Amino acid sequence: MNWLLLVVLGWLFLGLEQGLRDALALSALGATPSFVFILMAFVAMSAPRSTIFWTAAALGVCLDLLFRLPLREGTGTVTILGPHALAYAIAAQLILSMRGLMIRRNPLTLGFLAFVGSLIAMLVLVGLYTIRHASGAPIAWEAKRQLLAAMGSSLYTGVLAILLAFVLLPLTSVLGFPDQKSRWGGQRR
Amino acid sequence: MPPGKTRQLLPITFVILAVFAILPLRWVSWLSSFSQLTQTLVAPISHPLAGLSRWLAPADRARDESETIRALEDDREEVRVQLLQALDENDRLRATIKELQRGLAVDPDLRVVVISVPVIGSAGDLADPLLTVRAGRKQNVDRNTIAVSSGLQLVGRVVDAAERTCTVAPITSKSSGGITAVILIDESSANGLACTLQPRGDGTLVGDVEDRREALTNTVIEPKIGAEVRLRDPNHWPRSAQMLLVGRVESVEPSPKQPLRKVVTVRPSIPNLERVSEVMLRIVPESDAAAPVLPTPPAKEGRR
Repeated sequence: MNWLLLVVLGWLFLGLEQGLRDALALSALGATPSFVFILMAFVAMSAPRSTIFWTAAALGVCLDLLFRLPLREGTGTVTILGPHALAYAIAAQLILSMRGLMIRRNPLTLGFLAFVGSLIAMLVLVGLYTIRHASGAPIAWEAKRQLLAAMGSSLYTGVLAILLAFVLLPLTSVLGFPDQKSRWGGQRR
Repeated sequence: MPPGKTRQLLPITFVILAVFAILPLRWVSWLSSFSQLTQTLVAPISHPLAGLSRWLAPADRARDESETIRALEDDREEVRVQLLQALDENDRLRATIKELQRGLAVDPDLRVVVISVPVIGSAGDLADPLLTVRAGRKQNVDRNTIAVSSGLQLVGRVVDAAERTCTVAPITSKSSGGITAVILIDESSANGLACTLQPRGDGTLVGDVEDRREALTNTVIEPKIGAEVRLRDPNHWPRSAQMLLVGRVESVEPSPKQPLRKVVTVRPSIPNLERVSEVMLRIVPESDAAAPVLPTPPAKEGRR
């Protein structure tokens, strides 16, 4: 397992997420693709179980720290640790349970898993923030609009994942992830 | 670390994260320093990409004129804002004369320092865009600071300032809340129809317009499509922001609640405020922040 390369990829994808998010946003829907989730989905599709959840926690915490929530009436921003990490962990569990049914070398698989996983992650995220908002936290939050944007974002993430699969899938062996053939050869999934 | 310990540590980590996720906001305010650290770590990747993407897909494709013309237009707009601020302030100043005569010292000259800074990425997640800008408390940026773009188009307000970066909430972001503005009837004066605008989330602002009639004929004064809309919200925005351009009226429709009143849709002169590559921060020195604003002479080098 090549942790150093995974950390570098994480750093790169966090940079892509922050730098290109606005440029790739579909203003009408508020939909933005998530590069970081694509990396998460790729790891969840190929890596051992503990690696997946540590990656989910690390990437989630980085996103929690990187992106802040605006407060009502533009009175500031707030950093909330946890929601992304939890959402990514739940999405990772979903991908983990589905990956055995998939042909992992197919770029469409990453696209599909990124779409489904992202949708679940976004629903968890919107749910967590909505609970916080409902419990009186002064965050600027509109659950309905965010939910619509989340659906658009998930689809967008899935499409982008198909393209990025051509870059990520060849890295499977470089990262030291076991390939599907060896797993089919008698190892547990 | 042995695999057994790793297995034990994982659920503990997620339990801690779950606790953090539900802690009251006042208990997690210290996390913002870690947020700044993460921003700094990611900046070497995000900053060039943000610059490149904003160069490839600029906020306003129509603005391809030369630097000189842009600079001249900005100067012209600066003078125009100063003129409108002067006209707007006249009434208020007349009222304050009485207080001045009672001996209250009010500095009539509001100094505004303008610095041009790049946008280095997005700070907001999900559907509410926020801009991360490379200027912070070191440059005297605080929550009174206003961000404008070319043509003195109001971009938004600083909502969070760190040591070297700050976060700007664009006026078109739903999180920035509503603003009170004035639709200019006559472009040579600050006279206009007051309106309360709310961001719609698609880059425009929508709101009800004041119902005003001509004194002599009693005919309704209606906002015109294309009319300039400028900020006049002294209760919520600093004085350095008053009369800055919010946008132009894109459509006028009857209000669904009150058919006799009108609802306007206002679009900023820059179509995508979230994609500006650089902003100009109008910083009011702390000592002047509470002072009333008066227009400064249109000295080119001053831009005060």
